[in-house]
Amino acid sequence: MTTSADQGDDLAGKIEAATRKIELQDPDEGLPLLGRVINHIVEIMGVTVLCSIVLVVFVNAVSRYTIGYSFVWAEESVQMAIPWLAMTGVFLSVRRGTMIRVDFFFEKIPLRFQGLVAKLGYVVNIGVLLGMAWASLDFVMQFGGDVALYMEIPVGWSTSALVWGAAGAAMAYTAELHATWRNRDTTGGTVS
Amino acid sequence: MTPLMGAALAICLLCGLLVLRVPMIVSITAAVFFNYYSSGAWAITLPQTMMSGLGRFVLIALPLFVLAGGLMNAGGISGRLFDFARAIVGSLRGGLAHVNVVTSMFFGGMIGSSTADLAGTGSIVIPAMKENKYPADFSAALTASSAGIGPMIPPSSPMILYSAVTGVSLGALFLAGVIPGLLLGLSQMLIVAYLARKRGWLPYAVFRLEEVWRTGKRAILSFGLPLIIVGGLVVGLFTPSEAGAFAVMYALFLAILVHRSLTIRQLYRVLVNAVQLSGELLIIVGLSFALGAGLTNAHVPEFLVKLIDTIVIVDSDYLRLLTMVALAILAGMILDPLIPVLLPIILPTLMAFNVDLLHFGVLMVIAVVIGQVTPPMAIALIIAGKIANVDQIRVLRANMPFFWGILAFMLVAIAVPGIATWLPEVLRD
Repeated sequence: MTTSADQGDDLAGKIEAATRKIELQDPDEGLPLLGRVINHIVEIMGVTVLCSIVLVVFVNAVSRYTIGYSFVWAEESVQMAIPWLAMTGVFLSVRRGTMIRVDFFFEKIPLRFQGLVAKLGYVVNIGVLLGMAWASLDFVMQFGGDVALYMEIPVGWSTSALVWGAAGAAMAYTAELHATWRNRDTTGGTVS
Repeated sequence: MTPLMGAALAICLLCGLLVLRVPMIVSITAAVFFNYYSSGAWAITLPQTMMSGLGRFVLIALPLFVLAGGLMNAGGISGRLFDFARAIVGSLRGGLAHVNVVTSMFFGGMIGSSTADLAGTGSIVIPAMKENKYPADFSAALTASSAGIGPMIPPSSPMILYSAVTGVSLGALFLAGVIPGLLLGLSQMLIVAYLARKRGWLPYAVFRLEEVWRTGKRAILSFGLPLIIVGGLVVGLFTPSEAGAFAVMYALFLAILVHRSLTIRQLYRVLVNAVQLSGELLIIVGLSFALGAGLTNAHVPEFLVKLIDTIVIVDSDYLRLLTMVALAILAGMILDPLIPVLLPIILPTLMAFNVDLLHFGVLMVIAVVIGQVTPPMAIALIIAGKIANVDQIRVLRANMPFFWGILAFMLVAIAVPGIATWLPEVLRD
């Protein structure tokens, strides 16, 4: 029977290598040392939170099925960790320019105006994120002292993630705006 | 300014900022702030409603499924799945194109993200299809469309988001996606079979039972992941987050102990990717709750009900559902992620019309899939076109058979809710 390829073309091996490369590549390659250190610190925070969530949920489920015992604080502790996971993820997305956005219309703007629109975009990002940080700070100041039911710690430990995350993202955008301005980048840099 | 006017301006602001390439998170936050300002609400309502949205327990499943998918991906399952797909359908006419579709169906059951499939598998399969005399635009179009099957087959990130926003059981949603996902894949294979006969494309491999057995043995452990998740949820063994944690442990076991393809350093990289990918989605869900609460206070849902009753002059549930789905498809052409942004706005309207939320969940995921191959966003077509090095318009034209196919499938899925609801009804009773 005629076929378009023989079985030994190792397409499967190439696919495996390509998918692994995408998953495992270092996103900070070529970044200055300070930038790498900042990202690494936030990465460690995020990874710690994620691993803790996996462990707590897994151990709680296993213990419920094996010895019939549930940790009453498990669900609450995981819920309190989620804002930290979310905010560290957002910070890293901002730093690495992978925030979800619509590029289609921006690319239709004449090239000479793109730089200006991108810079205005940075200003909007910084302003809105600082607004979020301020509103979150107000929220933490008013309700952060409430004590969690089972963990018996102030809920501010959880809600303050919104303040740090929004302020951190605003700072990252400020740094990017500064770099774009200094380099006279007309396209708005890598981060939006 | 009336609350409704304020809400309309907030939505205009959201769209305007998105058009100017402002990130989704910032655009929604700005719209929420404007909405609150125009209705006189306090700014701290934003973090308050965000925290309430983030507190949904089903949301914990999102980072866990993302992590499990990343571990499977880095663990090197894609090659095994491709080999198995080749052994099963490679002998059909247009074999490589069929293998492309079936690999996406398998991959969807492990990864739950279409872009991971597209960027990884597509980068090799598209050039290989070109080498095997398939037109470049067709290769890109097929790869983009088949990658869309992923979100339909459990575990699926859009379904987790839908469950978090609506409260519909995640297990039921996962089950509801199985038959539509398989049918969608089958419809794409039918289109490929027709084109292969017309254009004389050759089979890709010879069918041999021993080859199916050999590749099946190598791939079979990978199928344990969707089995754990769906099985655990259906039997009621796990909550969604527990299913996610068990999926992570299983994927770790496979990658480190069985396949021995992941070092500690690589594991760290996969964990970071999962944090980054899920972080932004989680915040968008939190913000969507804030946006939804603001728009509900401004009586937007009541306005939408009146508007749809005005548009749909005949008293027909089918036409009302069709209108809501059309709105979702239109929004999906611009918004990604669609579900957490649109759903809080239309959920009260769906409830007012007594729409079956389980059925609508599957329709929403199909709308997400359509949005990925429809301009202006068409993210899947853009990625595939870049890999194939073909102009976007050519890819769009080549994709038309698949586009009409999925649109026809959507109409059938609207008219016959059983396609989505039958399996959950049978297995959960």
